[in-house]
Amino acid sequence: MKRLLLLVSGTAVAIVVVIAIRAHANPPAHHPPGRPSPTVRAALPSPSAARRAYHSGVATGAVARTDYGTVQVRVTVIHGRIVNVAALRLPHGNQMDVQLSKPAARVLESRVISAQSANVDMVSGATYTSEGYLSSLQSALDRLS
Amino acid sequence: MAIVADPRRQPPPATLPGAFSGAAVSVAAIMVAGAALVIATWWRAAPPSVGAGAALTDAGRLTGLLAGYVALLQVMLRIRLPVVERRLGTDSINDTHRLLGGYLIVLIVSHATLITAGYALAARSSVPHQLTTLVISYPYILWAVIAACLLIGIAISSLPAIRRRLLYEAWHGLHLLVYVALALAFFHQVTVGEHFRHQAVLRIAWTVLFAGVGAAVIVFRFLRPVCLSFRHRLVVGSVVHETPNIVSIRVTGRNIHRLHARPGQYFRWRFLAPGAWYLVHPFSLSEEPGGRCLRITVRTAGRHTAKLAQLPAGTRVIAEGPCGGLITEASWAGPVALIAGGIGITPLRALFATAPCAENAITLVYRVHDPADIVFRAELERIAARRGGTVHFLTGRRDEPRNDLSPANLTRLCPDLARSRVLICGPPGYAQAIRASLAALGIPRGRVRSESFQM
Repeated sequence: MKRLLLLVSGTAVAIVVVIAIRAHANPPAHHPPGRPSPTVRAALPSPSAARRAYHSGVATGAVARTDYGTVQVRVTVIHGRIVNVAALRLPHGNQMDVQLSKPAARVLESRVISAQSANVDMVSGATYTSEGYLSSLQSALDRLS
Repeated sequence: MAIVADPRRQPPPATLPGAFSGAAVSVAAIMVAGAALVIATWWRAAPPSVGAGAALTDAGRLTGLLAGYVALLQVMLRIRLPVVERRLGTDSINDTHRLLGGYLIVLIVSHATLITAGYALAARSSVPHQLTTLVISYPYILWAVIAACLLIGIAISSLPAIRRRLLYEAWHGLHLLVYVALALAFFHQVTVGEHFRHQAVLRIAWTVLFAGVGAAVIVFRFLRPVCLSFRHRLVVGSVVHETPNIVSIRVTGRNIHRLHARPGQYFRWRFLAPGAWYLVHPFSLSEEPGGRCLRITVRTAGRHTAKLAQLPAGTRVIAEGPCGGLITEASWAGPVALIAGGIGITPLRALFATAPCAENAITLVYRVHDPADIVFRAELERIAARRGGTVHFLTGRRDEPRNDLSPANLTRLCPDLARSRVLICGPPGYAQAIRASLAALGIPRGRVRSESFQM
């Protein structure tokens, strides 16, 4: 019993240390507004361009490839305002991808509509989907500007 | 395992670190290194987790991976790999298996709890809702839950208090479900496991590892014993009564030396006779294995062992082994003390005749309650005369002073005890009492090896 306790507590310490070091080495891709992470920056407009009005219409974004699968969105703009973003493709390799990416897409859509741009926070826990979603959205918005 | 060393350069035996504990340390080091490799692979391959619950999810993934790894270790400890048997010895293997068994259950429960909590935080859902989602909509999670329940049930059945109340067959049958549980659990590892589902190389490596262990089980637990039995044509030669309820069975065959059995080791025997074929008994060799014959000596008092007294000559025998590590190194040049309790005399009888030791420095202490139960008295006295060894027969009540297992009395019986390689075989309580006395005498654990018989 004593040895088991020792083994279990040793493992617990090892796991905590491993996770702490790893979190330190790979800081989460979550980024504050206005400071997109390097991987997405290229696809995002500068903050000054964010308020620009778009032509009315429906545009389908480019297919964005992520580690988890492809993402593609279609944006609807009416009277210069983004009113709807439909996710045409989301990672669906398995139940887990579906469970993560569908709610993430809903959250992103509401963030995009309230910000009226693709320059919004990613959804934590669904970073890859968020990156793909926002870059596909940006290419769609580019077609309407 | 023979330890090769130049005897002239050896320090006095009293300061020799135990070769046995050295083996235990290297086995432990290999196990820890494997665990570190598993974690390192995860570190490199798994995508970084972000957001709420990420740390919990990561901890859950690590405990899950470790659980898979420890489960494989548990199987490997149990398939009687000859090198593991020799180097660790049965008591040590049992001990490790019990320890890792409890550890595995802790890992599995932590894995399930941490993953559920981590996902619930990430998805902002309640824990019960998340648990339902996991079981219903994730692939193979239901299988894994069944596997976890099986393993927990098996662990509970192995708690000493429960195990005592179970028939051996019931307990053993339940324990065989471990293989079912590991097969069930495997699928959720490669389909949902974060770094396995994204990296084909790792998925294949993990699959090969599981398949390899599965193949080792089939080879070492089933094919090898059957092949040995046929290749060596093992059959019962004769059954001789040593006392009214102890029989010696001679198993004959050809090329017995190629079984590589050593004095002090045992096989798990299956006798293909009506009413006995479905039982497996671990019995030690009670004589140094010869060219054509293996002798085992058996108390026939048990429910099942009673049938063995009536085995007809020519009965086919399937032997799994050699098992156990109650052996001495060929290079040992110090004194040897053998301490037997009851039928535990069998492996020590073989060692008494063969164990390498300093001249005239082998002592056998043989404790039985009833003098009528002493077996091999004539053989032991003959060997003692030939080798210049000493035999002490301790009979009568346990509380008689001469039967005391105290450090003082053991030293009186074996004057060289402090410098001796000590081998013990007897019931668990007996072996434990002696180990405690030896520890009190300051004899390093590495120089003591015990094997307790318990079914």
